[in-house]
Amino acid sequence: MENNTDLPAKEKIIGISGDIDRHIAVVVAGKLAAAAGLDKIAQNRISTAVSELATNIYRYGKRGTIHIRVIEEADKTGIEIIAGDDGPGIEDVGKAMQEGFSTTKSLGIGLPGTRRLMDEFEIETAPGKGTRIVARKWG
Amino acid sequence: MEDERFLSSMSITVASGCLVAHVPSVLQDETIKLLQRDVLDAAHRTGAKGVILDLSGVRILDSFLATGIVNTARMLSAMGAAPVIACIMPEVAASIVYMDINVNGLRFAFDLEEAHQMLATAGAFGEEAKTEDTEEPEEAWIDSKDGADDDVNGDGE
Repeated sequence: MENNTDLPAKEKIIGISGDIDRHIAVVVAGKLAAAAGLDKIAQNRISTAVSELATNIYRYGKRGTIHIRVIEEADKTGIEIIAGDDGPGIEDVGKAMQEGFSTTKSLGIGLPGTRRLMDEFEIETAPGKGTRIVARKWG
Repeated sequence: MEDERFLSSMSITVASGCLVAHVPSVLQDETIKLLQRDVLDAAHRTGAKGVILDLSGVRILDSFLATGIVNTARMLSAMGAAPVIACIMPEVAASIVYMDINVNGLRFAFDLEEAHQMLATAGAFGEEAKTEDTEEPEEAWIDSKDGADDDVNGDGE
């Protein structure tokens, strides 16, 4: 229906291997969330979640991607973040999601914090299989 | 080295006898460490009794970075310099609360003026900066353990 090529792209994939990539992903997330019409608080929650997820990638998984896209469902719009890495995976997800649990400092608040920042949160991981996290926030 | 200069682009100024550290807008892992080092050094060097961490430029504070700021404030407290975290943007404040970052015992100010007032009331500047027009500023104190109460009563009468 819309063939307006001037429309901003509704999704971006950012490769993550360091702190600078995290920053790029945060900026992209903020722009997409603003373009999707989400309010400032929701925009910040999404950008902060992206920052958490990107940090988890380069700190634990070494290398991965953050895929951010605008999603639409019925009459609502939101943002979906898919964070994937081929790192060592998380051995005990239940534990990683516990408050205050930490293997190397920030994971303890990182994952539970991300879950609270977003409306939906799913995690798939296994030792040696990497980690894939899907999180969504609706406007 | 060049990197370090870029990363530590935080300015620390002295205003009404206390340090004001302007936290840079783009915070990186490394920046937090440098910030911590620079602020603690400056507090130690100047013997400042109060340090304001000005977050007005900060747009994103994830748990790692927030913890870095919070820890810096606690370290200042441990040195005997009263920390006040000031000028947090509303959306950043919201994210901090959603993430459930532990900020117990820390003091927050809406703006730099309020931060200065808090420190003055706490006696962080000794005699000369005591404010007479105290309109219950104590209420603005979100604190439980308060590391800076040693001078509050100063010299009574």
